[in-house]
Amino acid sequence: MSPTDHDQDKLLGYAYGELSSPEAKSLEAHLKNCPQCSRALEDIRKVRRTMAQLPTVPAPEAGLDSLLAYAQQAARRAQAGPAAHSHLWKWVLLPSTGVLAMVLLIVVTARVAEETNLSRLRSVAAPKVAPSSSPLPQAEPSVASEIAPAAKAVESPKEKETAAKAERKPSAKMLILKAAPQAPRPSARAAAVAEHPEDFAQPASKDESGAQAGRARQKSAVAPQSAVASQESRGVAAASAPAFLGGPPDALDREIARTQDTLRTRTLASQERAGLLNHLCELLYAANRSSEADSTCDQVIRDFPGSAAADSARQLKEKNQRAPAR
Amino acid sequence: MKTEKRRHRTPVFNYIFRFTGDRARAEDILQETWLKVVRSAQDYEPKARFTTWLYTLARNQCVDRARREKLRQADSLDAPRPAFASQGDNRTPADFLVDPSPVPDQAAHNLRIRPLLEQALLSLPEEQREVFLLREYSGQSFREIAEVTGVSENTAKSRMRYALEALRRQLEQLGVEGDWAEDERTVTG
Repeated sequence: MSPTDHDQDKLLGYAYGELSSPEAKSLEAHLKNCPQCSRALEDIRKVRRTMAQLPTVPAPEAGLDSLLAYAQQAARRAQAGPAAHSHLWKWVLLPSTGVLAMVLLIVVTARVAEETNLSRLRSVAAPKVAPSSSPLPQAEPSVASEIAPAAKAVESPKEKETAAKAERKPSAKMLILKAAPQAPRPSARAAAVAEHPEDFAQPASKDESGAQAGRARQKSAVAPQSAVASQESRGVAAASAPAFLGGPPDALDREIARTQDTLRTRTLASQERAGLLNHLCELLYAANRSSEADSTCDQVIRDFPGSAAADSARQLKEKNQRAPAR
Repeated sequence: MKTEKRRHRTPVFNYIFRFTGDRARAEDILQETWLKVVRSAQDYEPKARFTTWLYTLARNQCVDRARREKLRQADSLDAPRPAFASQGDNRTPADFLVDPSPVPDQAAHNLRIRPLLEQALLSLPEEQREVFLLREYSGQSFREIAEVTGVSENTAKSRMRYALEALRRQLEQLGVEGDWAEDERTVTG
């Protein structure tokens, strides 16, 4: 006996998430014992899955923004009607509030500037005061000279990190310009060792800042590889996602969001789920979201071991794999 | 506000485009819809959802245009599709059914079946097609669809059921199942 129209409407509501929670639970209980309704629901889902593959088409741009702005303005005017003039008081209050805010800002800025000048004057004046006391003048230069490197040492990890970050960008750019597809990965570490053997030769050192500097340098040596690898992954992923090449980034993001939504909300056959996950993986690599892409590929490999989808995911991942920056 | 404009523009255009099956026509109808929005702004009642009102205007424009130009329903499989014809491609949907090459990945598969899906959609009667488009691609609830199309909610659901059944049969006939076979090819024939 096939589901009645009423049952079909409930199945429709369920498939589109329009049933209330108690209704949905009741239907789920029914579905467990009714193969006809289960089949009917699966038919609905199958059609939806298939038709969901129709892409979103970009709308033409010209003139619509201004038209809609005009429409919304007209609608607001129509709603406001004759009462519009009663808002006149806003024309008095708002400007005066603005003026007051400006005055406050000027006063605060002046005060801050004044205090900054004062503190500068104080710090300039202090060394002039110090030479008058006898032990200090002699001690001070050496104390100062000891303080300076310590201060430098304290700051150096941050400075070094900033420098490392700054280094990363230009060196990444240089490497992108010269990028060779087969950049040998171990050589970055070898280069770092050659450049700073002292960092690698020292055991757990008392000089924390030196060790941190070594790590920062190591990171900066390894980081360019990430740039090369991400360049490779962009190239490979772009080659494997031809449907989105040259399209607007919005379309790629939308497709990613839609695929993720499908995976999250719909009941899929195992093969289809695997295929969709692979598709998502490709899209994520194309969008340069490598870590998410890696996780997605791992999921396929883990959930569908030995399948063609798992092989495909493994190959995708290998092609797009980053250098081990450890 | 700008985000909201963008948010409505693309879904409305997609609704019109998928309803008419022709991009040039859809662009015209979209422009007419926006003009209608501008002129009817004072008639908009804040208690109604903006999207419901917007889709009502768009839908009416589509229906009026279809009546005026007597838009063609889906032809036989051997007739060239308007969308493809305008892009200089004279292949018919039937050509895609007998493609012997393996499907390397899902993106290529999507490209192949897209014209078949468009064909299947255009094969639906207008009243079923509009309900399917509003529910499936515009995210309107059945209650909102009923408002837009001027029918009861039960009628809207009924049309949706017929649309889904018709699509299921059409997709079966075209060999587009949406499930992957063991070797990741689509099931054909």
